[in-house]
Amino acid sequence: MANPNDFLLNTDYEMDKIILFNQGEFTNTIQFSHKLGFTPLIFGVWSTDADFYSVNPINGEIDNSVLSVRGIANASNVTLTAGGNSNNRLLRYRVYGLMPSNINKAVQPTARFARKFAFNTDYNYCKLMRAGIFTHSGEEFHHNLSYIPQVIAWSETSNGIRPLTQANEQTGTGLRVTGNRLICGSGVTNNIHWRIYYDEA
Amino acid sequence: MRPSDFILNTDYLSLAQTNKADFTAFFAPETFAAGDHERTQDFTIKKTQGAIDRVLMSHNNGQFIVGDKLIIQSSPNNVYVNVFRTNPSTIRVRLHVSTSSSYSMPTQNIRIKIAGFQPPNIY
Repeated sequence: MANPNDFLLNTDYEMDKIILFNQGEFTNTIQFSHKLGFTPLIFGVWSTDADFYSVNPINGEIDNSVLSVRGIANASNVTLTAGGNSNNRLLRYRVYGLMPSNINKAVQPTARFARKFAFNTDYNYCKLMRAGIFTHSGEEFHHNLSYIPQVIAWSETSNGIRPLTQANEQTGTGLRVTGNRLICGSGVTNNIHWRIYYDEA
Repeated sequence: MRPSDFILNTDYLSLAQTNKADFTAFFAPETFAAGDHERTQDFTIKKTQGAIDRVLMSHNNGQFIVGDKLIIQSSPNNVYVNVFRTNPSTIRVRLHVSTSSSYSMPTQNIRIKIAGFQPPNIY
């Protein structure tokens, strides 16, 4: 088998397809309907700059006392909530969404949002190895790649699904990755959606 | 049309990986008085405006965790590390210590693996 890391894109492996895109402005909170009929796995960035010169991740865990934006999706809406925005600064956001591994539905194309290219071989496109859901602490997926691969994850609660952005060494929350395994932390109490790629981190 | 019907499909946006970096922040042993403290180290990365970053972090050669915040200790002291961009080409590693009494922090080695992405709606 060819090494997937040798290719910018490789049709032997599935690629991520963004099935949700929304952008706009707000100051304290904003909610938009995504009309997908399922809860998407959202991620994205926000900025105080009109050109997104300086950006922060949605659900980025910088500090509770500074400006931040939390995002969560449910089967109907995506809600973004700003924290620490006492000066009512105008916040710009870009939200993207992927389809969870337990959903397989027809959705509207999003390529109309592309400015120039849908694909550009000047850049790498990640090759998906597996997407799944951990439903209990200590659960593992053995990727056996012998290197640390790229991984992204989301946390699901009764309120919806939000990006998983932190881990606690003391309490065992979060997701861990080794050269051969993806591990759900011993302190995790809710479902974790994960995506692991052949691409080396 | 189901996106899973295709390996790649130009009807849908995709994420272009524009950069990748692997670096280690070293925070020397230090004794902190009661209160909140912050130490930072900056690293240069290939410029990507509006980047969406995937971050993995390893503390003192432990397993990598997924995310941009690693809580090293939440009780009795609050010690955590954040990773974020301060501008399109600078990654900041921030160590935060919050303690109610004197705390002698041991060496903290934080290895960061970060991949930056740019969606095609902006390039």
